[in-house]
Amino acid sequence: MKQHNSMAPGAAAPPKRGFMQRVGRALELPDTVVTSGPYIEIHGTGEMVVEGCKGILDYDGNLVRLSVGRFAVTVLGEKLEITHYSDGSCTVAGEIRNIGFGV
Amino acid sequence: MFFPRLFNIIAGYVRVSVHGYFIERFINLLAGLHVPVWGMKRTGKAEVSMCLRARQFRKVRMPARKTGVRVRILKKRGLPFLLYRYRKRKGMALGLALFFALVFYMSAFVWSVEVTGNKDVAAADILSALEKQGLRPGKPSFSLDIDRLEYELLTSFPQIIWTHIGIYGSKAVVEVKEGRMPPQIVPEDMPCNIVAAADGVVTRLTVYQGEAKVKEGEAVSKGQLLVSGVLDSKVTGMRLVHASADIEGQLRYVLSAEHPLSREELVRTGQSILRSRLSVFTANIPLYWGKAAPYELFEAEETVKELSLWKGLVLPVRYIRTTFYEQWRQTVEYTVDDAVKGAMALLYAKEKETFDSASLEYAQRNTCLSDDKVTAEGEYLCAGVLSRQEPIELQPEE
Repeated sequence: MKQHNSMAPGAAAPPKRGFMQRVGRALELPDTVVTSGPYIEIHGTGEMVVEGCKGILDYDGNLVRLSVGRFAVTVLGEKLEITHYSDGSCTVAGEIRNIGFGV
Repeated sequence: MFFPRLFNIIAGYVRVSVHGYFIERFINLLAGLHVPVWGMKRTGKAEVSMCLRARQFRKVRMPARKTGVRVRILKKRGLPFLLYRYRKRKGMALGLALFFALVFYMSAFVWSVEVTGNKDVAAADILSALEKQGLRPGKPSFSLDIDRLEYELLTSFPQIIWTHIGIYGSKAVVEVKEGRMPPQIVPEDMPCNIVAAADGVVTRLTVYQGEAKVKEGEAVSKGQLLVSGVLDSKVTGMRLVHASADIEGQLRYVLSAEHPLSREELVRTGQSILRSRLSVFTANIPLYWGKAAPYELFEAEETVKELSLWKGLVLPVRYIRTTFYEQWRQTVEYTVDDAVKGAMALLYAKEKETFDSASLEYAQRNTCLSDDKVTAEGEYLCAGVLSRQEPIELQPEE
């Protein structure tokens, strides 16, 4: 039988979910309960808190790149400061313009 | 954020400048050593400044050597550095310790008594009653029997239905709640009449005992006999009874208020002066030279800041700021419209004091302009209980 692919040609494939994540979805539990991935909080455009930060990859007044395990979080903005960094928790403050996720 | 910052100040911290090309790696190595950093700012192309705890500064050496960055202390902040700076000034430390010890010791005494929540009972009366029972400035707070004081206050003032005395460090706060006094009820076994409590019209009359002297729809004046407790019959003769009846009616009130077209008022000139003083225990220490109020006529506004370690412990040290506004007498002329508005405002205030607006059934308000004033008059009919009991005074037989 021929299978139809509903995805548009050229579109990126959705990220694969882990076993625990799939179990959590089935039981309607939030991801933070079943997985140990990063937890990111954004307060308006002035502050961002990243829990589960593995390290700082790059720090500039206009760019902060944080490693959160399998991928990196890139924060672009102005007058960026790391107001707190300890025990895997990192707080970035300033005029945040853009947040990206990538390898 | 207040407590972490307070902890950092108590523990002491340093702001350092990190210069080099592998600053990110340096920070990650610090994180690996469980050294928290905060307040990180990029100050140059290869330079970052950040704060870290003073005790953990030694841990910086190894990551700095590994990454080849140069670490330089910019600022030293916090209590340990302050104590180190003044370590040889023993007299100052002793004086400071003595001062705090004295303030703490004196906090065990009541230095001010404040009354809140009172409306009809004057605060001075409450304070004098409490003073007689032992609550006065200078009294040790541990020697006060709060339950007894509260009981005495309730029994001394029947208008007060609830009270609470709280001791907050050196301050005693007396909270009171006043109630409405119940109408005086004549005992069942005492003969009495029922008379009109106010001018009005009787709308409903149900007599349980006694002889009705008025009918429904009849207008009565204040003090008029409504139900008599004196029964006279040919069979039993004259006898006295405890008159009992439900009498509702429309109570009539007539109120008036006046507002002059011109009057002399005290007006602020725009000049003001601020005077501060320190109140330690009961002594006032002025923080200014000269007279407290340099004006002949003035209005004063006072703000008091109490020194307290936290909400529950108020220390006997207060900073009082008084602003004196200079005033002068000025004859203010009012237009007729403004005088009418003023007279009506006074009339509304009187209405609020006299009766409950929810019971108001009819109101007629007029204003009248005479030579030098505007008079506002109002006539009101309110639904309510029209009667009150009045005991029958028996004259002893001679």
